[in-house]
Amino acid sequence: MRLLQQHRLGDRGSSPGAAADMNGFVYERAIDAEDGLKKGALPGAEFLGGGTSLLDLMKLRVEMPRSLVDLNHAGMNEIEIISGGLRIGALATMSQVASHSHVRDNFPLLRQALLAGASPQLRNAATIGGNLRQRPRCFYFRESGFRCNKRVPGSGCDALFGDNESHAVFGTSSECIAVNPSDLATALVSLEATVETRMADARRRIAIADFFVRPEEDARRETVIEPGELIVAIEIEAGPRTRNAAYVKVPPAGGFAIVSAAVSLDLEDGLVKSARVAMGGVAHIPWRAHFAEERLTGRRAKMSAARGRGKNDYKIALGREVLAAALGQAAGAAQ
Amino acid sequence: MIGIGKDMDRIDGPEKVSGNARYAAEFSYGNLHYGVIVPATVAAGEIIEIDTREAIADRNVLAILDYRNAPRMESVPVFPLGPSGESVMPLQDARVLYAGQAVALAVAKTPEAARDAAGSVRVRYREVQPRVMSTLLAAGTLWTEPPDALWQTTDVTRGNVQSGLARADFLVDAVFDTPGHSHNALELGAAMAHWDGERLLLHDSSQWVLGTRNTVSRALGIPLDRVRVLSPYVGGGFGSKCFTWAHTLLAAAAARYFGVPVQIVLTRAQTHLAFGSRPAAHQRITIGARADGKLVGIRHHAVAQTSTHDVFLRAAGEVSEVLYACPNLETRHWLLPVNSSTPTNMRAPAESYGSFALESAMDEMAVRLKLDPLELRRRNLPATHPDGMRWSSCALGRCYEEGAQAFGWDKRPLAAQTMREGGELIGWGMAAGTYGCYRSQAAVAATLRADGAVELRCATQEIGTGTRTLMAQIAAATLGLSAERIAVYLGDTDLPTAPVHGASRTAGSVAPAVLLAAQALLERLIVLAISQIESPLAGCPADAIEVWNGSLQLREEPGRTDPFSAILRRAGLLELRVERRAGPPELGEEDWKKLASGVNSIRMPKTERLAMYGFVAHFVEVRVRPEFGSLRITRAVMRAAAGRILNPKQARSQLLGSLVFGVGMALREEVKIDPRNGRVVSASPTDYHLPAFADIPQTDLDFVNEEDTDVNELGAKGVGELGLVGFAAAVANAVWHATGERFRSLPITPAKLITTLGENR
Repeated sequence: MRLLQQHRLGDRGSSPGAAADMNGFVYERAIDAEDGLKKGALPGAEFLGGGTSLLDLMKLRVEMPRSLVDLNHAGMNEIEIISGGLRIGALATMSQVASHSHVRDNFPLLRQALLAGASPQLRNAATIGGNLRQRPRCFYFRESGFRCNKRVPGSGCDALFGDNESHAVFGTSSECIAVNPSDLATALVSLEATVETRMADARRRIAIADFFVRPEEDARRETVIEPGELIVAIEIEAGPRTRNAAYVKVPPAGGFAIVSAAVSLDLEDGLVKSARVAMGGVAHIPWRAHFAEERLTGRRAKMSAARGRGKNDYKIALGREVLAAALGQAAGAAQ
Repeated sequence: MIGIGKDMDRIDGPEKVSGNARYAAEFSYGNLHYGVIVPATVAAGEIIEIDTREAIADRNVLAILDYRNAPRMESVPVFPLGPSGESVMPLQDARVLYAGQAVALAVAKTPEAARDAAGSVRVRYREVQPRVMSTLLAAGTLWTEPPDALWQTTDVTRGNVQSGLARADFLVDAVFDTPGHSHNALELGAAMAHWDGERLLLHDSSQWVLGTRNTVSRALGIPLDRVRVLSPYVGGGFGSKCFTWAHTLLAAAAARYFGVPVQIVLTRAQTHLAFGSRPAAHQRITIGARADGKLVGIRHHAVAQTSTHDVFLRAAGEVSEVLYACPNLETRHWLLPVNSSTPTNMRAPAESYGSFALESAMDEMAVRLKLDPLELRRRNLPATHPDGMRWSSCALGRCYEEGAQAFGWDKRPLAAQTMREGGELIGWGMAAGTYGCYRSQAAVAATLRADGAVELRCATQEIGTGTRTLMAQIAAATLGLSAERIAVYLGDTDLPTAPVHGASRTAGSVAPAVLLAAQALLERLIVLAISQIESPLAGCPADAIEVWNGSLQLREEPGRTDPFSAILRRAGLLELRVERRAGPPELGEEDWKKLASGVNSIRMPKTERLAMYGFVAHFVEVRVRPEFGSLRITRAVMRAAAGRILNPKQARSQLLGSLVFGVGMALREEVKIDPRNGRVVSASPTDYHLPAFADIPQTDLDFVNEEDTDVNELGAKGVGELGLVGFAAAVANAVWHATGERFRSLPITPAKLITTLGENR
């Protein structure tokens, strides 16, 4: 990154026009949110957090921003406790959040999901806001020369009948069967978090359930975030379900989820009053498993809407087991 | 002082961890330019248009080279005829033979501009249906109606396998599939070419500097003596850097074409595509045994991938020839040409997957016989090479017994699915392995300096295995010096000749030359000292003198010493230099000339009178959670027989590295090809899963005592690859013991476990 900055700034000057040729870009550092929003409003600007995903995609020419607005010196990294709940600045790193004492003591699901993701080095750099905006790991999307509706809209999807062992079984469409790779996102759906964003002249509070985009709506993007829109914080309310909660992932660490499940339960006398269940590794969005919530009687949930594409058929059976294990752990947390 | 056979730390460890060791991409010359390869995005066809307008718009970009304007190159044959990775030279015509093949090279003043330019080159192709191994095998008729496309290669027969199998009481007949593997050395492929007048200086991350020199010289038409290749440190190779690949040739060609130094570093993705790989293989094994467990026939047939443009052949059946006393044997090998980069050496090239088939089949036979798999192997332990020649040494039986004892194998229940703990099924499996002792000639120069320190010089390479340390250790032990007093120079074509750093031959080829050179230096010193009137040792008999702490000393009279430096000073010498060549008796002057020019020459493990092999036994525990498809290797015991172990610390490290390789092979690693377009869809760390620390079990790895007076002057067998042979089979056998299911296709992934175990729940 340091090399990139030096060469770009040295060789090409700082006007976006000069950098528009090929894959050049302007690097700008935001000193606070206001400054970031101003710089991020220019056409072709992208916000830079930990850079653990964006820089990879730039090298692959999947992302070719005209300017990078570095938010690492713009604050927005505080973790606040509000009425027992959490308000997490979007620039807080995964490590900071996972090791926060209030998270450790009261939000087991959030902590487990954060620690299940990536490696310590990546978690030290990756930010919460960036985590929610990371793009799919589908090989057909990341490498050039394949048909991909994300990369070249309307070109088709080579994963549909290709090597789709890691691909989606829920909410799939012929547009795209890539999966959302974030463990955090799956946990936040179960915790019913809220994403707070700012634009130049507006603020939005987006329920996490409305934050992700289904492929049939728009395969080009994964979230409702608009160009220039900045995630400033994530809020998670404390509630009856926050403590009786668990995250189960296969594999447990060291890779993206093949299948994961995040379960939050409200228990009374051992009975489930209400549940929020989300699954990872199975859909283009972190998948809210309503079917499981409705049938929470300790039986194995039926994976009603799942559809395999051949190589990923095994995910349906695996999903059932992971879900059962997460339910067991969440219920066990109450005892 | 350091003795041979003692643990010794790496002498270059501090340089490496402090960043002072310089690798190929870390050398720089004034006006250095950067090349980035544009890889083909189709697997077969031809280029119909290359649009470079956008790419050359940046003023930092010198040019885009493609087949229309790139310097011409002569084809150089692939191993063993030549040292090239591929015989098709880069950017010579419009043909596309595999996805990832270089179709253009962007050269620019900065790495970023070169990368941008490469990404902006627009190439249009006329695509034809590529040949893909999985499609060609999918018909399932391979063993009954071999497709015309198969290239038949070698056969080995012993006795009459057909009648042997016909007399068997029990038969196992099974088919095994193993995928391609990518090397993934930490250091990417890298080359930096600098023309110094009429001489090319080439920094290349290479396991064979003389081979690289030969390839570049022939391809570009430069006399050998005008090319110098340097590779003092290599950040891992595993076979990928044995031969010369397109990026090295292109760096040299571009440097000459543009008149500036040019560096090319492959991207991680490119190392998956155009840097060789272990070929995918499809094998069928038939084993026959009598009721008492004695083998009466082994038929081992193997089909391995090669490229459409080159023959790359390694014999998967060799393990079947060697491991068991079986009177009837047939091994046959075919190659299936597909649109891929030419496969290349990778740690235990064919022994790895050949042993997976053989040792899995042996486990199946043990089940048929209701016999402990170790006992089955005991009953077929070969007293001589099964072809009749004497072993130089064979402590395989000791590997079995010492490994079994360390593991607690005697407590293993015979039946599958008998051990569980919590939600996990536990299984114990074992397997054997063997790897041949190859040997080439090598020369080493030893120089005693006026200050009493010693310099060693050899063109061999340090690829992370500890060659530099081993050389210093042997010289230090021979000359009675501490290791700090030895400086080792290697990885340079200007130094005395050495072979390619492959086939686990370096310790057995180079170390003897160090020994001979150090001994010669010592003899010269003794002759000088006893003839010097001022020497305390004047007139002493030569055979009464030993070395002690940088001095000669009279054995019977400790304290009567003469420092090396004093002997030199009296003789009026600034330094004393000797050079010695070592090699097996089977190799002569013609072989030496080949080696020196950068062509392989080698003594095979099996000669007419003698068989020289290393052996290993693996014992593995796995734990399986069937519902999650999770498989953990929780314990591994390995016992290896490799003659005299020169530096046990480094040698155990090789066993550990092999074990990590084996874990990847068993559980994780797979080159995935999309059959529709022949493209590799696993060319990234996200998609090609290497083992992580969490995948590595508790290990107990060691050597058994074995003496060998035949393999070389030091009695040392190579250990770099041995530990991988058989490991994956031991894992699969343990999975059978845990689950009752036999996995004949690697890697054993969660998807396969869930699919297979789910069907039976």
